[in-house]
Amino acid sequence: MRRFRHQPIRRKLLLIILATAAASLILFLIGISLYESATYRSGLARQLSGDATFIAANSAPPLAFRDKETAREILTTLEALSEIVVAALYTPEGEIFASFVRPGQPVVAPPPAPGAEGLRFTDGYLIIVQPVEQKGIRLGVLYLQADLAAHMREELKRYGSIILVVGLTAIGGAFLLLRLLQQMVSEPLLRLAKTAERIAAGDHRARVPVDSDDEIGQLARSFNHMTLQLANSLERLEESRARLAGIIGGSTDLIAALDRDFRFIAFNPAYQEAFAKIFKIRIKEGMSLIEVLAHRPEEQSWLVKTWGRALNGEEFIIDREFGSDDLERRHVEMIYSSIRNQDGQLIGASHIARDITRRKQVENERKRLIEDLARSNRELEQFAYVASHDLQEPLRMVASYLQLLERKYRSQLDDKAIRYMDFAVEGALRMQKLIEGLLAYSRISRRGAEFKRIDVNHIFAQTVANLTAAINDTGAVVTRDDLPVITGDETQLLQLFQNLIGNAVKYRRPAVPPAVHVSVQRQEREWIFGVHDNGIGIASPYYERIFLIFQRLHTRGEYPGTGIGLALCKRIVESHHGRIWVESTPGSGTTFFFTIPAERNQQ
Amino acid sequence: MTGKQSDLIILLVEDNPGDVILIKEALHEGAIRHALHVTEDGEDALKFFKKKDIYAGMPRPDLILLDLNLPRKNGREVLAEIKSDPELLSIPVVVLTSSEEEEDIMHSYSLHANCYISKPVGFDQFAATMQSIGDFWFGLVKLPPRKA
Repeated sequence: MRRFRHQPIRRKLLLIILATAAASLILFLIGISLYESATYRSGLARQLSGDATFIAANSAPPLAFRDKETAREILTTLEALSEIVVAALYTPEGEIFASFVRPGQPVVAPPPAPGAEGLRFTDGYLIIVQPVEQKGIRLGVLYLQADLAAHMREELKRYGSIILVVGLTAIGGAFLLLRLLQQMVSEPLLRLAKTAERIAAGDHRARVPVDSDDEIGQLARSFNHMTLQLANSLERLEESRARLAGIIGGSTDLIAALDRDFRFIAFNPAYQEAFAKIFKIRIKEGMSLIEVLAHRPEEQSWLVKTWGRALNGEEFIIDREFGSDDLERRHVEMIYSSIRNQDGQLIGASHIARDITRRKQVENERKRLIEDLARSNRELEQFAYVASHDLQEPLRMVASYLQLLERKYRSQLDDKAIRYMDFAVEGALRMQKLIEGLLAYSRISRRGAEFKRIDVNHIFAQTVANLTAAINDTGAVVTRDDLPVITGDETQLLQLFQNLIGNAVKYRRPAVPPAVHVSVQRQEREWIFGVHDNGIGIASPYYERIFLIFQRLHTRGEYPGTGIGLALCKRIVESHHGRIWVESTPGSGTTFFFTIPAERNQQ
Repeated sequence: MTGKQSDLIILLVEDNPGDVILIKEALHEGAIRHALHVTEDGEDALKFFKKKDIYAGMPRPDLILLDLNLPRKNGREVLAEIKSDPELLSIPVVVLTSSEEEEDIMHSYSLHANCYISKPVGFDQFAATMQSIGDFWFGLVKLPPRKA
């Protein structure tokens, strides 16, 4: 059966046809023989019965006359009947009267007694026992024994030749049938198979000719339809593959994929180039990452470890520098992810890497610049602090000794000398104020603010308390909105409010009592504070300049001051991440605005 | 400069001769009977306490006026040594310096300075300051009894 399965259809058909023919032939023969045998038996029995009757009639006289010679002659006539092997006549007493035995066959003598009258089949023989009578008187018994087998052998020989002829005819017919079948079944199927092979080999335009409407024709049509569908989807697949390949191929990102054995499944030209640049090796699909990096053990071990993580299903982003000499040194950012098949089984890993060397350089450069700037700022602040601090010492000497001179030698000096010395002392004291201002200014960022939550209403109250003298002297009215809680440095905020409200009181119009109001307004994520006054105002060209250190708009005679206050305010606001600006109408009033970021979760 | 036995003995540790004179003048303006000793750096101050070299036979001061910025051994070191010496730690130390640095102030007090004063600008204020120091330490405060 196994071998049969491996036979080509043509041979299978042949075998089936032959088997069918042989089976029907054999069945036919068995039927015929059975029929023949039955017909022959009854025919022979009838014939022999007739013969027996005839012989019995003829044997009556010899029996009556006890003429054994004639009786044997009569029996011998039976020699012509080839089936008869033994014939005998018995006397009524049961003795053998005459007999005939055909020579050359196994039975050599008639039985001692004829047995029961009638016709019977025994051991392949037909036996007829017929009484011999004349005019009702029983004269003896006739015994005939015929060999059925001999006749059958002859018959079979005859049928054998018939079978041969019929069999040969059947085989010839089978071949003819086969050719027909081959044309109808096998050949179209073979054509189908050949077409399938051509398609498999890549010829997507191959089609099977359809020349029938039967099952095979339908199969061919379905096959052609399927081929068309296949070709269409292949075409679409190829298009999308080409599109993707175009995108990946054209990408400056380095894209590669490995299978679970660290062999390259795919990569784009950018990857190949970068790989060649860094590792001096031109990779090809199927190459093993482990093998190609055998000459760079350190990077090999790192890359194998990293790819290994991705091949274990991890997804991550990583930064690294590759290459040894400075020219080829590249900074690469890599995104690793795993590749799974439709069943979710891990089959490899991919990585998209970006050469961020340039970006890193710019970043580092920027970082360096920022650090430089911060350092230079720190140094500058330190310098300002140390300078102003050290300026105090000689100043103290100047002021102290001038005063000491004045005290001890006053009696020896004239008025002019005393006035000059007063100028000198006054100058020294003013310089001390400037230095104090500078110190405060440089401290703002040098100290680093200690930010905490501060109720600005308290700051306002303290400011007003600190300015009591000036407020009382001028008859000023200082009012406020309900002020919020903000995050900031308490000392600095106090300085800020004190400077702004102090200015508002100081720069008043002659004979107009100052009216100062602190307002606040929430705008998006910041508070906008305003310090409004009804003072002398500031002309717009000076809106910017007033915030510069030591910039003054008035002589000391008009309004005393160091020119540090607003610079300090600006610095404080900026250290709180806010902005400060001024709006003013000369002759009617000024408003200083500044912003402070609002606390989160605050309305 | 050694005063009488009943005079208060003040040691001034100050390297700036200008300040030394100012302090002398300011103390004179006040009405305190005192004997002022001066050392110009930290090393000498410690020698003074130990009565070493030229300071042999010097008395134990009743009050120390200590500048912080001194050559060789600075004021912080001197302060630390005084306050860790069981013989000296009972002597009140007034840190008198031009620094207004919070850090210097904190540090001085953590070394057990008895008070911290910034040198004022102008002689008038200076005189007033010295008067206050005198009034406080030699009038108001009971100082520990003198030792030999």
